[in-house]
Amino acid sequence: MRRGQGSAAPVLAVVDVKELKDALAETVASRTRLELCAKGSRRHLGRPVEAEKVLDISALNGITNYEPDELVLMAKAATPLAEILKTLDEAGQMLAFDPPLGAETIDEAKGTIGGVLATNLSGPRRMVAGAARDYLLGFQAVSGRGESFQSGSRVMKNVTGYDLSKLMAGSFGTLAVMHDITIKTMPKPQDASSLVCFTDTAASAQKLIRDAFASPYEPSSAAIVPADLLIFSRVEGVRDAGEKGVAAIIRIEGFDISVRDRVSGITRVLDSPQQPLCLGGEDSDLLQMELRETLLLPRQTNRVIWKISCPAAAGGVLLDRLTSRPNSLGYADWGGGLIWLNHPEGGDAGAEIIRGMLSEYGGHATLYEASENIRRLVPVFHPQPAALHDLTRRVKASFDPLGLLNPGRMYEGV
Amino acid sequence: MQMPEPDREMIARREDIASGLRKILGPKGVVADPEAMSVFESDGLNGYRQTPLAVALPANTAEVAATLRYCNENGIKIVPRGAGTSLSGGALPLEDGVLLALGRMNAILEIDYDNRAVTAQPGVTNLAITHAVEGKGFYYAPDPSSQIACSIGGNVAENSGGVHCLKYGLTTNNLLGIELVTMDGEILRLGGKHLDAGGYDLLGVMTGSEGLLGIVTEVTVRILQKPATRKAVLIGFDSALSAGEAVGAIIAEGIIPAGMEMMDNPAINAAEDFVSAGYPRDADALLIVELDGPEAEVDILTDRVAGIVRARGATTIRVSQTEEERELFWAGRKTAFPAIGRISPDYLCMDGTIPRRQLPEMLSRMSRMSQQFGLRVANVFHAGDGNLHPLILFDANTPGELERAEEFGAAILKACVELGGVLTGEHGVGVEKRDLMGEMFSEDDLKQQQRLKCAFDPDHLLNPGKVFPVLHRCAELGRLHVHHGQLPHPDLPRF
Repeated sequence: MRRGQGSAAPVLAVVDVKELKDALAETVASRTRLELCAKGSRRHLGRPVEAEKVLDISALNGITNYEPDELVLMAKAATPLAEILKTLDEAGQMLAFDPPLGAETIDEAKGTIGGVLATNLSGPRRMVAGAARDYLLGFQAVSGRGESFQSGSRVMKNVTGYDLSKLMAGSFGTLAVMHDITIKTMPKPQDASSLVCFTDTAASAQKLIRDAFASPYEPSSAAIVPADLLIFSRVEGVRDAGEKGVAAIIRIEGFDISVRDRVSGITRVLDSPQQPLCLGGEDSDLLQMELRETLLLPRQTNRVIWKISCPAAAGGVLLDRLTSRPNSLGYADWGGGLIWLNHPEGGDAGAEIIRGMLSEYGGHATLYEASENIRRLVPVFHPQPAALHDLTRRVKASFDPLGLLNPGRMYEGV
Repeated sequence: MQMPEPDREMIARREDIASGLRKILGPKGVVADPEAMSVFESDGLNGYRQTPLAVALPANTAEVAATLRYCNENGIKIVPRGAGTSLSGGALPLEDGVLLALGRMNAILEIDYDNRAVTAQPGVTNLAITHAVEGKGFYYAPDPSSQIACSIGGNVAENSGGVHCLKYGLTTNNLLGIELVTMDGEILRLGGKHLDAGGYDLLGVMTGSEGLLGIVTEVTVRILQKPATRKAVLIGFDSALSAGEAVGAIIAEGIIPAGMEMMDNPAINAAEDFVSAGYPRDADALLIVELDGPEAEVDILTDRVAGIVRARGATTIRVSQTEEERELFWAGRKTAFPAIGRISPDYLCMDGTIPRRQLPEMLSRMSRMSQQFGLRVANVFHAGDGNLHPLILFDANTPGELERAEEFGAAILKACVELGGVLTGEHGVGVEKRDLMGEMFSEDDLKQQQRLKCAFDPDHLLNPGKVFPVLHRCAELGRLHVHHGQLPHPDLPRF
């Protein structure tokens, strides 16, 4: 067990599903509040949990079934993400939702598949390929009532009963402890290229992206990166392009001939005054990795990072507005629909101003990275309207009526 | 099919309730005359019929909210209805319940090309969304076969699919946001034009919840740029086994076709008789593989698919040369149901999903069952995603045949679950598959699902009698088995 937060709570480690079930039954009987943990790599996400014990499920790991031609993989929830990704890679497949790895390569990927799903984290391909929640086909879990249940299945077309997989994805372990998961896998694209087009503002970069997506050339992701962050890239030609303003980065993936054809198609459509920089496979992959892993944001201790989800077309304007504030740096992914913002630590870490500005466009802002203290004081997840919050509480109680699983991780008292 | 025992007192209050509803909805918004209500008696599962207590026809969200508040306060059950095309009886009325028909809410509210999103009221048809945006080269991807008639609100309730799910997903993967009204009349917004939920993914839970959790009053979906090129490949095989292997091999090669459909010999011949699409009548299995995207990519993929199926013994390979030819290839598949309707007085359309590799086993079990029940069966199959639509042929005028057909259907669905699949891929549970839920779920699984229902609708007023074979009271479901000691915080509200 790796300790992310200096918690001194005793650890309850389970070695199999039977032990997990027994442990949760005992937890219900003794009303012990638990923090769920496997590798602990995503422990910094969410509010600090108020728990008496840490439930360590890291022994529940291993791929139990993988059928590449059926696009399906089953695994124990605490299977290391690296193991899953390496297995898929060997079969020419991937997780299409492109989760952040907490590392630069799949070999070093941190955390577990269960952690990725429970936090519903998705990378640059999210805008076309869907989120983690779209790839969780089914699961088995033990609820906060100490009862085993399952939902979904191994087939990708299934409407039998409520789609609890969607609910489990992104529930941050507050409803039940998933121990077995089934996910949909996808073939890896054969080739990739990224076009880097320079313009003067994020808003005008947004227009280039809009035009690329209105073309028949099917980009697979798009980002907007201002000059002051491009300098952090390790990709030659991108790093040195600091003078040139804001970059629209448009990725094209697929079979090799098709990629070449579409790159020239998009270049024609964009009709940019400056010739776009065209990155081939390796450079394109490196730049997309930097975007996915937020490596283009300054690396400093105690940094505050906001993850802001907004309508894609508003992303450029919102990014211009947010980064015009002092000491605020950021870039947009998901074609403008996801803003990563580095904000100074003081006060409420910008919560009120950021969420106020966002309310003009719609969306939600999550405090993605901040010290434990700030995450205790500032609502990490976007505050909900009263009626929705009441429903959220009732949904939580329907799985975990005593509030034993990851209490307070998402909302105070939930 | 056993429905919950109707409340006679409620039925006796029909006039009273109708006038209560008229105060909210005006005279045009309520139908309570039994004869006028007859058009609402059934949905696409037309073997089941029931006249509702009254029909409410709200014109906007405020009227939906007021209607629900009124019904909640008076303990009146609600059955929501979109276009009434459900094949599983999801909109089957209750004798003691108000049918809430959303057909009057049929306006497209906003088309936002910059965000590639369309916002519509729930009564807008699936196809109307594509029609509204195709002038600019866009379309809405999920395409259930009823798309000309089915409503987008109903699509959300059923998580509808279609023939392009393998590449483009079901409704849930194409839905950005909804406005919904809960049974107590609260209006909530989930999602919007942005991606992902800020908290629990209640949008994902609402999708496919079959009208049991809330009433969808507004829908925002993503629209996609129409692919530059589409080509269909028509492939005949002399064994279903080879056809099944070819499907697996195409996916193993890293190709995700836009659509991949299979038909068996009876379906091929019924379709060919009906539309003369040029299908090979002697083939044991027919595959239609559609590839779409930029022209360069489609050309490469078409060649690869042809190579793969040739290596697996395809007896016919034809690539569509024109858009007309592509549509002709599809015409037989798309009219397979009416084509079967011509060769049999009646048919039952089933909807199970199996892991694709189990197809040969499933087909051989089905042919044994066909002999056992003495009824013919034809198969159309969304081969890419494992979704089977066996059509059981029977004659309702022959005593006992309907019952035999239903038993045959249930046996097929049980076999789907045995082989690792599910009871329903896209038609929903409704009343049709309600009593089979125990084949797939344990008692604890079903109770947990019902607890979630209790979080939305604690009195079971929304569409009771659908999906769950046994209705447990929420108080009973909430009871915890605590071994020793008392529950902490006894003052906290719990179920």
